[in-house]
Amino acid sequence: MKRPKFGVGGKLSGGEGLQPVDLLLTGISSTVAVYAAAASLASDKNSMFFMWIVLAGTLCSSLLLWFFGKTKFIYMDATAYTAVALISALGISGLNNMTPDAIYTGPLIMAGVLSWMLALGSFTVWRDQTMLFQAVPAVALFGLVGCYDTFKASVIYFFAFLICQAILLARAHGRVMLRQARSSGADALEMSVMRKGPWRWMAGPEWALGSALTIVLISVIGAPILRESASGFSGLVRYTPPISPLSQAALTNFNMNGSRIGSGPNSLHETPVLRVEMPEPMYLRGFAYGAYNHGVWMPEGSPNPATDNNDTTPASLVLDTIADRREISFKIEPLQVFNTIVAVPGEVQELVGDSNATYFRNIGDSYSVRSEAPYPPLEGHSIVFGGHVPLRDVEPEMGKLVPVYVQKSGIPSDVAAFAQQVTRGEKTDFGKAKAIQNAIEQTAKYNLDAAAVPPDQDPVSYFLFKQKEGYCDLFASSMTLMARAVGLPARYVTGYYPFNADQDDEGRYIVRQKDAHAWCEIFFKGAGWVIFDATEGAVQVDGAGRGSVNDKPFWRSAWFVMVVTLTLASGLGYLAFLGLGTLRQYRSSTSYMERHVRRASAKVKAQIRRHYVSFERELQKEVRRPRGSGETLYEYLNAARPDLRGRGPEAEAAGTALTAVLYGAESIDPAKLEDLKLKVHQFRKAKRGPKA
Amino acid sequence: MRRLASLGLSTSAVFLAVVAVMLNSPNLFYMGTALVCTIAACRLQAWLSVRGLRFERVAPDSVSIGDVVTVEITVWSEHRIRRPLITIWDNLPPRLTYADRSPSFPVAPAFDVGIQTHYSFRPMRRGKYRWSGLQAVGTDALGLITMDKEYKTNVAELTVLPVPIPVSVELPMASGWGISEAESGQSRGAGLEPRGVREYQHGDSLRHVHWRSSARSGQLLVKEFEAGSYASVAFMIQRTNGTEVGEGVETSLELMCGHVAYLAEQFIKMGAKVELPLVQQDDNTRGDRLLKLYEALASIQPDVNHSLSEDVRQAVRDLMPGSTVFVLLAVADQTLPQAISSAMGSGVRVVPLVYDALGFAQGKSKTRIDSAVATEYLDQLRTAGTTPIVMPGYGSLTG
Repeated sequence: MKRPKFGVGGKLSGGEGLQPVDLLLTGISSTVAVYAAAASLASDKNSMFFMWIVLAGTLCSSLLLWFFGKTKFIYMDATAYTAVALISALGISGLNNMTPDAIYTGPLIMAGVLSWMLALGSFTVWRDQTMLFQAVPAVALFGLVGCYDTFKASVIYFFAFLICQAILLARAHGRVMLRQARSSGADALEMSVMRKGPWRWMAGPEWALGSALTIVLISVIGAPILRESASGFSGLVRYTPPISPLSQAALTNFNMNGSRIGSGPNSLHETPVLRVEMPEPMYLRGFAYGAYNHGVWMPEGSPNPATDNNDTTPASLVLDTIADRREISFKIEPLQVFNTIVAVPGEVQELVGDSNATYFRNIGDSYSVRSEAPYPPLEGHSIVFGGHVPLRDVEPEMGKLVPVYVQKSGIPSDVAAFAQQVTRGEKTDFGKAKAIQNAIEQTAKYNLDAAAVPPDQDPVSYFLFKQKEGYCDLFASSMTLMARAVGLPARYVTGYYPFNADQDDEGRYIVRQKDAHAWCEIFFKGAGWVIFDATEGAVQVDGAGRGSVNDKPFWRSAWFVMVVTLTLASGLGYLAFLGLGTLRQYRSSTSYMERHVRRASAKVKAQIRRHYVSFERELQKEVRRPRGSGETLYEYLNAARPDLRGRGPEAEAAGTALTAVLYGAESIDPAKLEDLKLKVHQFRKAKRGPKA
Repeated sequence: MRRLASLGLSTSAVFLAVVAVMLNSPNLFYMGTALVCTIAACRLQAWLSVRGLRFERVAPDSVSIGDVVTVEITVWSEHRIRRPLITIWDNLPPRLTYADRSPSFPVAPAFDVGIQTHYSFRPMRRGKYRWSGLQAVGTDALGLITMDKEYKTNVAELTVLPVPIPVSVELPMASGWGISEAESGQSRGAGLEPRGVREYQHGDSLRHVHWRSSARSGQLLVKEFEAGSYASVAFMIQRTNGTEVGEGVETSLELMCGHVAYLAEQFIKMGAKVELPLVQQDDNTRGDRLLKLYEALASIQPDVNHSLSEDVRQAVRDLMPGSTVFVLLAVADQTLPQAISSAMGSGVRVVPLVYDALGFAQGKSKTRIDSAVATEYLDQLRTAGTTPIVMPGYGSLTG
């Protein structure tokens, strides 16, 4: 069976269909889009996952074109693409669960739909239309990435995408022109032939590439200028981009919309976040959460308690409660702000300087910035527990004011039972809290690389009784739930703690991203919110303990090794396929044919020349002189004729055959060559007769 | 597809730019700038692609209806720049009805040498057409933006000859009817004086080849004989303004011309002298008489302000007695019977070939037309001493 030429459509040939390089460029442009999208949502796994699917899809499309490129099957590409678009849109929930980091929920759902559309769409790139349509979700995805503004390299990816698209569009346009050339009555055409002829002055794909590179250069130079020029009216819309659940984990769950715990290995690095002037290393509260529901902490309280003058509010209660107080001053310079939150130490009494204009108070008593970077320092005074009076009982008023802090619903029964068990015999609330803390510390190990909690399990229960390792979120959650289980008003808090007390030359603490932390706070009489950090006494896993950097390169992880192996295998397969396709295309091209014919012709000529030389030498033996420069073969033969001694007929036959192949108009076929060889051979072997 | 891609990209560019400004997002500024620049560059390239060009057009002089006309256009670039491929859209005259127009062969104009392009079409209506100017249509290298520019060119002239439409008409064979003499074969030379020579036609006897003239001209010429003094046939077609009924290529005038072409060919084959009075120039030059007749037919347009009867009166003056005039009309001309009577009196026989105008008319126009096949009108023609022949319409080939 003759294999169809790689290309599209029975009616099309000669480079009018998609070529391997088109599919490769489509694959690359789709890949950079899905990669940038997943990377902007802090999901390396999803980046690789989608890259692999796009690669597989491109390979699949190539194979389909290879085998069915000349059938009507490929005209179903639009239907197939519509189907995958619908599947991506309607089935995003199921598809999201198939991704390694199921992050495409809530406000991120559109990124998921577009990523899946691109990934699945790569299986249906069979014609120019679908190939070009792949740019639509890709551009939309880049738009989202731009809105998220979390992945700075996305611009580079976008430029790569743009260059690929420019070449693709130019090549597709070339094919349209080829089709039009054929419609105008021209014979079978090939781009290579046309570019030597009437299209030799054409500005083709190389011009598109050049233009795209120029545009990239202009954009790189021009965009900052434009942004600066538009600064007077830009930024009119205040937009808080949705943050990836993975970013939330990395940022210690600084999220007003809820915080999930037990999400698996955390990624902490050395990036400085805050520069803080404070008396000693202190817990910097970012956000406080109240309700707990199967692994998710939800915020509780009014958005701005500081503005509420009612004395019975939690905020006023806090300040009023702290009898044994110590006032501290702080000055916090945000170096990076995640989700507008700036963490603060203790209970902020007042802000000084311009801070009031720049910052506003959040739930959980942290502060949010109003303006944009560079942020002015947040300066003020806080009250912290003095530590002179021993802690004993909790303040029941807090539980009445904010019932969720003592709410027992949502606490797994085994966790509650464990709390009851470890606090048995304790007389004071403080004793109970310490007993719980000790129990957790002795039960679980601290491990930043702990695996994620299975979705069907309650994270706290799973952490305490099965996995028995985790990091701060699970320790703090356990502490909070167990405290509530024994009636203590407790809350789950996220923020920073400078574990390594890293200070600069001026004694300011440099808080880094690796200092992100979570802890429990219990409200005591006379002391206010008291911090209970159950990670303090827990066994630390080497290299994954408190304050350590576990931002190990993703290429060392098992999933990456698997993806790379698969990618390499697929990539090699694709390259081999690409090579075969290109070779096939080259072998069917006009230039190859011409070269082949020239080579074959040269081979034949060499053979003829060998026979000619052989024949001439044989004659020379008789004539005893070389053939003259102006002497024809026939004249030379005639000169030799008297001395041929009976070999005249053989010489005549060989000479005639040689003349025919050398100067004849007919093409030389193997049979003629064989005949020539035979005749020359017969002449050489013919016996000489007696001398005349 | 191109427009859609262009629209999509332009919309994306504008959207990203607006969102970039609204959110003051640095990444979106880069992306928006790049997309806007892409669109701007495409527009610029498309604009440049059709600037500074020169064209020369070559079209065939004459073709028959339905023949493929290939127009060759040579294009030069006046600037040494590379351009994306351009196509040509020729300004064919609006009244030229054509089919199967192919797109022009896309070319990249070169500075140093003229690059040839071509397109083809099939004219579907006879006529003499002149046109000049063309549109160069160019795109950018990505094929996203299309722009065009009008260029002046040399004037092209094309004569679309009618195609003979076979018709079976029973002509009255009266005495003195020269054609009957010709048809019987007697006119082919025997006893007649040669009138001149003409090109050999299929069916001519080799006995009548004029060898000396053939040798001189290099083509086979045969002696042409006067088929008696009566073998002179003239055709007069109704060409009064507003008398062409029908639309497109199926009008009464087109059918008449097709029938005349067919009948004239038959008469010429039989050796008769055929002419189109008032339309055909007196041309004593040698050449294909049939071709000249076709060219005359091609030039007929329904654009004269006088009636057919006036044409008949004027033509009869120049015709020899004994000639036969076939008058073709679809719309009743009330003064024609009188003109026929007058012509008959001059010894010129007039045979009206009448068409049913209502068969061509469409819609409301039917009510405003007096068809020439109306019984009363036919009676008037008969009363004038002639025998009108009702001709078939497009639906049938026989009368």
